[in-house]
Amino acid sequence: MSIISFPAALRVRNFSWSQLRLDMAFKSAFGSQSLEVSPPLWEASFEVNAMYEQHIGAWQSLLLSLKGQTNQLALWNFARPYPLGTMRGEMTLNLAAAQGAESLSIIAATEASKTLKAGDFLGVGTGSAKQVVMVMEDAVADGSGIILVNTQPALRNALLLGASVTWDKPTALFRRKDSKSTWIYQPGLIMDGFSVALVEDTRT
Amino acid sequence: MNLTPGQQTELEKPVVRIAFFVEFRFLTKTVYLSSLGQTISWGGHEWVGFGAIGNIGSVDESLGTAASALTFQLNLAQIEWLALATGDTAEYRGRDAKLYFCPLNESFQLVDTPVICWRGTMDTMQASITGEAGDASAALVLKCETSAYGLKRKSSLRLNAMQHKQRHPLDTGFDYLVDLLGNPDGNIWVSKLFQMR
Repeated sequence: MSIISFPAALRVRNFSWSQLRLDMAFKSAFGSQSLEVSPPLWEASFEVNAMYEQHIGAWQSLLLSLKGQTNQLALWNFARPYPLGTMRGEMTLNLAAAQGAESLSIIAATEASKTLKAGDFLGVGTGSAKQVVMVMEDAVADGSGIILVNTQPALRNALLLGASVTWDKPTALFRRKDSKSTWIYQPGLIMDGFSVALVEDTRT
Repeated sequence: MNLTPGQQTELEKPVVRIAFFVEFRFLTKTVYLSSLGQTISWGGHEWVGFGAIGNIGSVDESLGTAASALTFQLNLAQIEWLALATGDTAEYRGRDAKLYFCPLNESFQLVDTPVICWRGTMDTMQASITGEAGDASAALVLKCETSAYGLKRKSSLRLNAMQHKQRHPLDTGFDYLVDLLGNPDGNIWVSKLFQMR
C-alpha cells in the first residue's frame, strides 16, 4: 500500500473538511446518552469542475493511483494550507506529549513573539501515528520561540521531545469512502464534474 | 465486573467513551486487540486497534443451564487471522480468551485500569465471504465458550462400565449406570442381598 500525494497543480471547485465523531446515541423519553466508540477522524471531500476530456488525464491518474480504497491520499486543508498566525521556521516539540494530550509545547528558535491563530493546522507524527491537529486558541511565542497551543482532536499517539511539527500544508492520510471511479462524457468531449469523498485512515 | 469510582463516574456522563480489549491466547503467541482505532498500551502490552475487531456478539441469558457462547467478528483481511482460520485447530481450540472493558475520558485516555468482563475458551473459527463482486464483505467469526462449556461435554467425559472394568474386571458397580440416568423416576433400589450376589 502506498501514500499518494495530492498534486499541488490540480484545482478543485469546492472543498470540505469535517470532523467525524464515531458515536451512537441512546434516546428515550426518560433521558439520553451518547457513546463514542473510537477517537474522531477527519473527513474531506472535493468536487472537480466539468472540463474538456483532454484536460482530465491528471485527475484520472490521481484516482486510479489510489486503487480504490487500497492506497492513501495525503491531503492538507485547502482552505488553510499555512497558519494565519505569523509563526514559521523549523518547529519541533519543546516537551514530549502523551497519548490523549490536548496541548502542545512547540519551539522554533527563530520565531520569538510570533503567533499561531485559532483554526491553524499543524501536522505531527509519522506513519500510522501521523495526525493533523487544529489550534483552538490564539497563542504567542515567548522570547525563546516557545509557544503553548491547545489543540483538537486529542493526540492518538504519544510524541517524543524534539518531534517535528509541520505547518506548511500539514497532511493527514485519507482513504476513499468508495472504491469506484466514474467519468461521464457529454457531447463535445466534455467530461462532467465529479466528486471524491475521503475519510481519515492511518492504517498502512 | 467491578468498576472503580472514577470509571463509574465516567459512565454516568451524558457522553461516554468506552473501549474493549480482547486477549486471545493462541498456541504460538498471545494476541492483544483493541476496539479503538488506535493502539493503546496497558498491562505491559500493546493492544492493537485499527479495525482488527469487527464486532463483539451479545451475551444472551437463557433459562436452565445452557451456556451461551460469545462470538468475535475479526478482520479477515488481516492475513494472520486467515492463516489461523485455515490452519491447525490446536492453535486456538480450547485455549483461553479474555475480554476487558474500560471507559475513556474526553481525551480518549483510559480511566484507571481495564477490568475483565468476560473470560472463556476459544472453540470454533469460521471464515466467510459474502456478496457480489465489487460489493463483497468478508469476516472471520471466532466463537468462544464460557467455562460452562464443560457441562455440554459431560456425557462424553462420564466414566462408563467398560472403562471401569479395564481396571477392575470384577466390579459391577457401573453396570446399571445407564439405566439409573435414563430412568430416574423408575429406579428400583436393590437390596443388600442383591448387591452381594
